[in-house]
Amino acid sequence: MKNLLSTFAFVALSCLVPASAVSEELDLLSTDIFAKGPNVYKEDVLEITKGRGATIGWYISAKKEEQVRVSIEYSCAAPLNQDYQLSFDGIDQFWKVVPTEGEELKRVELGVFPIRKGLPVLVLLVPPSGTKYKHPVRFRKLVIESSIPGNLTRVQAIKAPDAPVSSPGFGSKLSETHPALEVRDLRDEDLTLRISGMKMRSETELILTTWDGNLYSLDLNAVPETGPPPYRRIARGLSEPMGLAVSGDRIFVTEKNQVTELIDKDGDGIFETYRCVSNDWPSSMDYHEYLFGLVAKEKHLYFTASVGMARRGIDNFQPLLRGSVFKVHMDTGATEVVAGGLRTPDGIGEGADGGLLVTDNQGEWLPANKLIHVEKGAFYQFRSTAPWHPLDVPKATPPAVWLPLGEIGASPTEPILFPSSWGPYAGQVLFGDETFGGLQRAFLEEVDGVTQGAAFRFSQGFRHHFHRLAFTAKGDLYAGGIARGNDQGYIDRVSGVTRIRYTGIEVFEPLAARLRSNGLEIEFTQPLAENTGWNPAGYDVTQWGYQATQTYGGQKVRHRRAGVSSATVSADRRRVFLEIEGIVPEEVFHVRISKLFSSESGEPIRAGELWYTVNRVPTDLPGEVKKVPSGTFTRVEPFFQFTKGDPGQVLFQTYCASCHSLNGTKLVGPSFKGLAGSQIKVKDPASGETRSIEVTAEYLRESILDPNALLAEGYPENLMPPIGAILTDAQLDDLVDFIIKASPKP
Amino acid sequence: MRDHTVNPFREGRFRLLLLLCGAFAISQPARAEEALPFAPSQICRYSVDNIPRSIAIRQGSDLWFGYDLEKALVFKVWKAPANESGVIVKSFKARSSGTALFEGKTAEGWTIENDGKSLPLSARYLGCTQHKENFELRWELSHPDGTINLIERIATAPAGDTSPPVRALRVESLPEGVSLALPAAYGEAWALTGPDGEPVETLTAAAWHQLSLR
Repeated sequence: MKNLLSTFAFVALSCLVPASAVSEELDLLSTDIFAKGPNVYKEDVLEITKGRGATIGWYISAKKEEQVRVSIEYSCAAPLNQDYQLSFDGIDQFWKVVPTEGEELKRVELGVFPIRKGLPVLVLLVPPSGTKYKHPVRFRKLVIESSIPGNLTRVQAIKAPDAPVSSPGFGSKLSETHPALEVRDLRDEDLTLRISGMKMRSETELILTTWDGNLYSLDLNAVPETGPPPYRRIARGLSEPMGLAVSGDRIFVTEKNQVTELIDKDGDGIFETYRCVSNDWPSSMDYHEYLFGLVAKEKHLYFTASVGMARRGIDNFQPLLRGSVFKVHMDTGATEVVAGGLRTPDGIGEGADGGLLVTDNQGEWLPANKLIHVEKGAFYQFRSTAPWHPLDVPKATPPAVWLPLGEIGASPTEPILFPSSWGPYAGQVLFGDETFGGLQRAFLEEVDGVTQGAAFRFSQGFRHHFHRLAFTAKGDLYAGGIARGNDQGYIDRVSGVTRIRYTGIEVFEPLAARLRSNGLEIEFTQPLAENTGWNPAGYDVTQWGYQATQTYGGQKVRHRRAGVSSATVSADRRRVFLEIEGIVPEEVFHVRISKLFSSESGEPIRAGELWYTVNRVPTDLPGEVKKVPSGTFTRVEPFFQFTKGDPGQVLFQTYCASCHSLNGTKLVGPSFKGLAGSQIKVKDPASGETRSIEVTAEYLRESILDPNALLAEGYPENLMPPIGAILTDAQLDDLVDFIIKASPKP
Repeated sequence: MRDHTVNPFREGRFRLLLLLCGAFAISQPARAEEALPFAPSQICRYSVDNIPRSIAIRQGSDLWFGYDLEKALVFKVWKAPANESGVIVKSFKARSSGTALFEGKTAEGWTIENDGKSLPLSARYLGCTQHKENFELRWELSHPDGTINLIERIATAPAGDTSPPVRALRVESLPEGVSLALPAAYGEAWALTGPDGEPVETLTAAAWHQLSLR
């Protein structure tokens, strides 16, 4: 373990470049960064007292690959309680800021990094989050030392491409239930079930755990046509169970800090023994330390451990091994670490290949949500200070599928495979979302031994926010909802059990996406209408990478429009191959298909959108490019509408709409209906005082940048993520302007 | 937190019984609920008093035993305030409430004694069982040469109104000539007696011993 931990310090890379090789320097000035946040300039020196809200980064490019040395000119009057993060093209290291004497700037080397040729790479300096320092870190510039004259240039910030006007399923969240689903809400209005675990115990018995520590049984044959189902509590007193597994006649639960087997030794139906199978990892009192999910496979149990949050703003401490995928033997309790670097991995399931799938929630070190195909020994990037995790390495393993925040997820939950009875979706991955709501699906493929694939919108329109899923042998889906926070009305509304039946109705939508050496092939559920799909202008395709930061979230890197040079429809018209130039590993393609597409039977396309994650580009697997049939390009109506629109509305939809409604509907956070200019009660957590304030642009701005500064009455600290950390000043202005306009006082 | 127990008035079987048997039916769901062990009002399995892996067990109406499960030791015995619970739960964490009768604040743990030598043991929690008469906790205590099992029981009801708090302990797989010793600080607060009620210094063999708060 010590050897692995020492690699975390990243000093080894310093040895790769001969000291005498330096011949030219590129200055990355503090005055050229993306956003300074609340920090101030004194001439050309940025005085950083707070990390949140600042984006201290630059793009650079190289004509040739080489190793470059990075230094900083800075001063700092006193030690900090946490380290800075330096990330160079996605390779992370911590910088322990050593105090300097006086205010004179000092130059120190931060490390040596590889730079690839051609593509702009992001260099990012990330101050600690959640802390405001009395003494600033003063810095004038980063210096990149190259050994090749004229090799490096600074690239002006890349502007994200305009997005076409959106509608549900086309640039924004779906609003309706999938036409092939028959839904029944199995709620008992007098019983709030915050579902934390769910499994079939037999063909007709569904068992489920609730966050408050109960285990219920539901005889599916006894569910009446109307009225509340006969939920029967069969165990209680569990400590925050977040996972449930059945293996033969054995029942296992992941509790707050142990894996437990519930034993009914005398067979009287009562679990009198709670056997601790394993608790062989450190644990603290942090509220956010959970053990999520539980997969029983042969004689082993697999589950994940989330990281703590309470000390991140203090000293960034995590107990050893938090953020792991664990493997525990059911009988001996022997415990192994399978993988590390997870944050809030609130779902684990078995993939089609027998491997493990994990969903992880965006936040610190996760610039977007993830669907991970677990690789043994992999590290998935959530970092802390040493001693932290033995698998931590500077270059993290990417997920199988990125799930962009606000676009296709906010808090993804348990992944499960569609059974064979679910028509074209059989074998794909289905998952819920505790905040975004609805059900999403993913298609996975393996390229050069690495799993990757695409995420698709599937269905919204459910009352519950699904956390756990279970299929019966007949193919009925039972989905359990959960909610967090203090708003009991909201919790009651979105928690509970839903039964979902697949009716087999055929729906025209994109089904799968497969990467080829020269582009992306999209498969549809039905044949396209004749002469449809050949025009590349019918596909709005953008691409980007991701940059993780130790502050909340992260930004899209090199967000740009992809070059789609042709579109070829297959002979059966079920597939379209998009020929794309410039496929870059570890980037995401977002494909918007025009709403004007229809199927052979004339059905309009539903949910014409997908996000494909490129981890590997297949070699020698080209997609077939064919000449466009004559008479195909006859359409005069544009495939997409582009208006200047309101960029704040897009930001609101992406970052706010999952938790704040504009129409008064209660979600995780308060509704914005009638908010602007109104008087609201807020609590100052520092003083404990409650007072009335008027909602102004200034207040909204502060709330976005520092959600814990003044809390809306009735809402706890840390409920709202500090999404302001990933917005530029201009974006913040746009967002605040939109909220003010969209929420006028009645 | 709301009490999320099943509302018996919404259960179909209850409504049927109500029609048939009148008031008698009221006790049916209630009895089923009572039959379930690990009632939070009696056994608190949340972290107690900032000890992540801990448990609190109520004996009788108001006496509570708090265990540090990673040390296999009682960390506190306390009496709840009159007509109030001895544990206060908030945000899935618990704190003890009432008058402390014992508080064990020692870094020491269990040791085995052999030929005058003392060897420290590490504890691995194995789980708990709620019997009708008592609540049982089990640990595996390890030393370089092997493991032994420790079983501890708290009676559901106190021995008597004026009896001091008592726990029963048994050690299994203890090699011959070897004994199990409590931390010294615990020995000062608790009186250990053997299977025949005789005072002893350490636990031996597989017989039940008793620890009574002095």
